[in-house]
Amino acid sequence: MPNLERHFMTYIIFGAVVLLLIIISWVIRTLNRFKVLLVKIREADSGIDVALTKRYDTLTKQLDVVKAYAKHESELFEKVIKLRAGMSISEKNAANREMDTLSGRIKVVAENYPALRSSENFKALQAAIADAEDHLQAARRVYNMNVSAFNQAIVLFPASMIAGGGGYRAMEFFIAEESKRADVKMSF
Amino acid sequence: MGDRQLQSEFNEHKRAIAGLRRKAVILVVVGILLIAGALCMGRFLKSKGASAIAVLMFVAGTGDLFAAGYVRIGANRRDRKRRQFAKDTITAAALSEAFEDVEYAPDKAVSGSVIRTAGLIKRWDVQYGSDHVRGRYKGRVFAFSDVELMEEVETEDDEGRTKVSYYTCFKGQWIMIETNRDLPGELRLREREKGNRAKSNMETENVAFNAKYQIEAKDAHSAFMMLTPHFMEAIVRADILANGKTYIYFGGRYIHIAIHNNRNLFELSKKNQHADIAAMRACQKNEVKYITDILDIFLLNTKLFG
Repeated sequence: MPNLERHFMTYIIFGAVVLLLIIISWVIRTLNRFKVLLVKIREADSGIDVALTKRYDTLTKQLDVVKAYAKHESELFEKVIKLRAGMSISEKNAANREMDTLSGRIKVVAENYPALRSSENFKALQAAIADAEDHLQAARRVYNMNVSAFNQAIVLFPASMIAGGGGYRAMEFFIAEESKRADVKMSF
Repeated sequence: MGDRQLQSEFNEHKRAIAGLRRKAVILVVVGILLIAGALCMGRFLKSKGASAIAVLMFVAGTGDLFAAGYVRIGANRRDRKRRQFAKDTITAAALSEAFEDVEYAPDKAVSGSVIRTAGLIKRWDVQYGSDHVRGRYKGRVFAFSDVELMEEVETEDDEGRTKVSYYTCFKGQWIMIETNRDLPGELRLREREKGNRAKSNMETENVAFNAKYQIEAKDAHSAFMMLTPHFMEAIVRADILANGKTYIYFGGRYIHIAIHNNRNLFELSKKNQHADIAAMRACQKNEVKYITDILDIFLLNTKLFG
């Protein structure tokens, strides 16, 4: 009998050790997955920075061209958009919205100045802005894809227990303005 | 060539083919009767004369069967001529109506190296194809052809002998359209077969699209530059029209659309081979429309084709 008990105890201990190893490896894998997703989010975030900067630079150049034509309306462009390193996603969202507003104002002013609209420089900048906006949309979608994957990973049970313990929180999406969602003109 | 002349040419082909097929059937029947007669005579009549006649009948019957085969081959050759004639006249006209600068080569197909570069079908060994069409549609250069790709499979029987067999892994149309600029990267979309859970290496915000296609992209940013939300919906719409499994490759300056629908375009089917010119023409136009409808949906993307 004591022999049987000893065997039984051995099996229990062995089982417990195996179970513990499985749990530890799962915890490590889950934590690594979170970290990989966070790295991907950071990469995508820097993609947004690049695209936002490109859009900002092009808009600034276009603004200079517009100001030369529409000197009387320069107060329309007084508000300064600030871009700096290390902005949070909500700050980037805000800067992007301001750029949308500025871009809209430029378009309205350009409507009143046919010479401006037909200038080669302005046309080239319009094309560059469209390209920068395409890049920004793509960067936004890559970022949101990774944020979505991360947010899903941390709410699904049982990974949610580790996420809660490790202080992982759902991340904010980079939101597109409604009009920017109509990214490709499809003519029917 | 006027419609009346075309019709009379087709009627001539039809009559000739029917005549040859009839002859072949008669020759087969006569041949079988002669051989059967010869065997009966040989079995029941034992005289020398009867045996000689039986041998002669057997030889004549065998010759008859060979002649039937030869006539049947002639009928098939004539049928191929008729099909070729239909392609040179009716199909070529339907293509010229729909496209500009058309080059139509009924015996050629999209090259195997192009298909390999696209990498949509992972494993194939043998390629067949026909009806290569190249030209411009709404100002954009395109090419398409029927393509059949087969994979070689080696199996071993119980005695250890290796048997090679081929099975079709793709049969349908391979369409290529030139875009207005170099595409930002490479992207492959493969419509999933039932039960295919092959993993995509990126996910779009369109859940239905993710479920329908396996997405293979070198980098997500350039893939998203091409796969805009509207364009994804357009791809699904084109897929419904295509009525088959769709595979799409974006790379270089071209988009490749491969439709696995087991169809062979521009062939005279059994149903329409006896139809009149108007019906045949309508049928060919319908097949051209199948291609233009798909092209139209892709060309709506003004960023790629504007």
